[in-house]
Amino acid sequence: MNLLLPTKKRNGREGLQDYRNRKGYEGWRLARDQEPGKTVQAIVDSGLRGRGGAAFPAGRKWQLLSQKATKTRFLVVNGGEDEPGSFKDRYLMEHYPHLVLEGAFIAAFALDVGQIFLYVNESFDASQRSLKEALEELATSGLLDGLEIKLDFFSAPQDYVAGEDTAALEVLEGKPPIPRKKPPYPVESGYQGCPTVVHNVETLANVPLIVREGPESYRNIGTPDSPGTMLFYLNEEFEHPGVYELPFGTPLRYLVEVLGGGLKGGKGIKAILPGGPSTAFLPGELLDVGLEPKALVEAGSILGCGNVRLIPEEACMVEVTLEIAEFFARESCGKCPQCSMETNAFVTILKKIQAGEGDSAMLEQIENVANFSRGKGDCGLIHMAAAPVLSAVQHFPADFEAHLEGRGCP
Amino acid sequence: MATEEKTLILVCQNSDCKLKGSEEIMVRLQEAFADNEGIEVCPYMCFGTCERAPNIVIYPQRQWYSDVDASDLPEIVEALQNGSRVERICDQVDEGARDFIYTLLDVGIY
Repeated sequence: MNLLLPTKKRNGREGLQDYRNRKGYEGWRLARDQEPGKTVQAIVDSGLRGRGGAAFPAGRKWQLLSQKATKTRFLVVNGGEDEPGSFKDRYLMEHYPHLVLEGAFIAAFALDVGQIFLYVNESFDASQRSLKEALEELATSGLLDGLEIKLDFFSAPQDYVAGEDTAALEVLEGKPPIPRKKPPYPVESGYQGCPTVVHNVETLANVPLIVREGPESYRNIGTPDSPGTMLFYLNEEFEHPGVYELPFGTPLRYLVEVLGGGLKGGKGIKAILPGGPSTAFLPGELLDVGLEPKALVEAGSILGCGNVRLIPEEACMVEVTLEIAEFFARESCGKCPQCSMETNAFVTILKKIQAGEGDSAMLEQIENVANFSRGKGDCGLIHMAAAPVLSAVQHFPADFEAHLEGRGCP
Repeated sequence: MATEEKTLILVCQNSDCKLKGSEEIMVRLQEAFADNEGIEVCPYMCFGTCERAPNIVIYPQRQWYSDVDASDLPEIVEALQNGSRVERICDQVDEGARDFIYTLLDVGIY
């Protein structure tokens, strides 16, 4: 079931008229005509969760911002999408820019925000072009008449941490993308120390629908804990790669087998990486887990940003895990000592295991490194780097043993 | 134990230590011990005590030098040759962090 996207996929950008033909900007019209507090309450009641990975209740951010006495407030539309292999935000911005913009304008109006930042990955040329064209259409449509909200584009660096909300704020202030220590959270002290809401692109794309159809209607889809739908991305390793919209709670099997057609060549599945490289591996047989934050946590991982990857049966988990560990060591910004130590230690340990130089005592140190680092660091990267390594050791010990015994990849 | 016969001088080469001159420190130590087969000077990934950069660990002696300056090197070299240590810059970082790194070194992670 699609809530955000039309059933028939399109190749180009959805223009203003096509968008209005499917009730586009009706939510915006309603939001302008009603008390802002009513719009905020609708988002709270909808149970909308952030789609960037943390699944934080969006309404909670709105409530906190609404309570601020400071009238200089900002909204950041986070289109950094630096998670490797993630494609959904880019897909929305490229093909459905009005959906994103309507959500942003509703949020800005309801929260009395004076300035919106469109923070878009510097490599997403088509997304930037599409959003700019959509804004040009809006400018002559009369839909924004009388509105005093400034909107600025900002190119987001391609560094992994640049998509983190406080790192984005640093970039907007002209500084390198280095995450800030939290608290204070951006709603307390964000851009230039002012209350700021940072929302992922997909999160905002849900806002028009909630305002237009009402939160009760929205809650009829998905699960009680996570209402609505989410966009999932299947990469080129699938028979049918692409972006798919599904209600929360849909079994993973439906996404990867029915929609995705399974892995190319009918390969079997060894492991599941449910939400990008920062999530824990699950054994391949857990295909019936529901695509929903709570269910994934109970299974031992997280939903993340919906970038589903399957590891084929012939893959060696030491190799796959080392590749991810090297990514995090490379992308750690270097601000927090424990993160530098942890990410580099994982690479060193995994390389030694890969080369058959280690023993079981070395393997045990993976957990010690993760425990030593847990709870430290200013952002989530320190935790993200540990999840795939710990889960690989837990679920696929035979692969590690093969290397430790000098037999190489299983 | 990482090695039975050799003393390792591990010089951190992560960003903070490098910014404060750890590359030059490593080169100078390598030159100082070039003819000593019992001592090997190696780069280390990161000790996690970047606030006290540059950091050097001598193992298995378990000597941890922090805030090392190039001007400290003659003293460190002499102390190592004499079997002593430079107390004023030794073991200044958190004991938990030191123990943790020594545990990694004990199983050969360096």
